[in-house]
Amino acid sequence: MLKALKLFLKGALLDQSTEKIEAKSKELNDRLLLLILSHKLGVPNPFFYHCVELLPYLSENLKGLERRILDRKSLISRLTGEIGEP
Amino acid sequence: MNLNGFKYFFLSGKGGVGKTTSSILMALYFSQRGEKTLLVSLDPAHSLGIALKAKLGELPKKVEEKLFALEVNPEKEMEKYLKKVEKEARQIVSPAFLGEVEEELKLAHSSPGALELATADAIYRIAVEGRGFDKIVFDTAPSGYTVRLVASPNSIVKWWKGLISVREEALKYEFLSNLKEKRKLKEIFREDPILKVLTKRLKEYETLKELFTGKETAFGVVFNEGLLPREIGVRTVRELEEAGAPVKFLVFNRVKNGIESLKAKNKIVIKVPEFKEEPIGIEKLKELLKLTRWEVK
Repeated sequence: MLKALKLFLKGALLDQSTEKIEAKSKELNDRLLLLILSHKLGVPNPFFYHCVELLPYLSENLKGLERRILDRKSLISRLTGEIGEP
Repeated sequence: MNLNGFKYFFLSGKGGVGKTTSSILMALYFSQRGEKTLLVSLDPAHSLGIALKAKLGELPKKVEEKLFALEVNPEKEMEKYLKKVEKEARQIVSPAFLGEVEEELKLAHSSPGALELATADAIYRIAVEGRGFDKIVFDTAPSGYTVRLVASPNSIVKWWKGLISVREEALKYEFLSNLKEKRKLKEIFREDPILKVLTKRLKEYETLKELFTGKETAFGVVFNEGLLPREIGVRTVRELEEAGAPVKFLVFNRVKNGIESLKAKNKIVIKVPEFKEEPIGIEKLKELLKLTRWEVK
């Protein structure tokens, strides 16, 4: 019972307070990835050869990056982008 | 001014003007004066081994007293590096994302500038590992290529610094949102694999920039009698100087008259005369070195 209450409070108070900050960090990582993969926007990255070394560590951001970038305007898709595909 | 004050030498010039012969003469000159010299060929189409009549590889091979030589194969370096990244990806990336990473890796192989960057990696490695040598002479690939290689480190340093600040910012927000995090922010920065890679590259490029524009380095351009090598050579000197590379010497290979359009002030001119036959093999090259004159203008 106490455990459930603890979880409820965490969800209601803590997660809510940190989720915007977390989203900001994800957005910054997306920005980093976009700088590396600028060819996706049609701007070749002259240092791409040295940047591929970073991709294994950023792989989770790689999925759905294009969709998130393309759909920035739509709030729903942005949210689903942050939550991830079902 | 003389060339003994420098440690690194880069020879540039149009293909076929005699860069390889000139680099060997230069390296021989230093080694005969008792300096431990390393001769490096960066040209993907290697001719150093042929000119020295020796089988050369990636590791320094002794070809003469105090003289060592090696050939860098940028293609092979590229292959090795990308294989390493791929292996790493297989280890840490979850199978769901692996496909996308592998696709980007395939792209990297043929991405513009890949070969240049692989060559830059090799120069960096040789400069770091070659600390035991007194002189290192690089027989570089044709001019435009060399110029780009030299001109890019300046902007590249800024660019990597930008990436570092974005990643640090992202980590900062992640740190703030993760209430269970016990480490300090500094520790997180230190342990982050992405920051590790970024700072490694930054260091590499800062070293290269220092190497290409520093006081220990002398660039030289090789000329010969033809009109094209002359014009391209003059242009190379200008481009190198604009890029911040110190052009300290000119090699006139079988050039009969001076080159008027060239302001050869404060530059050492090395005059290599016509030789009775093709100077292949160390003995013939030694003979040619005896006929070569070094002039300070």
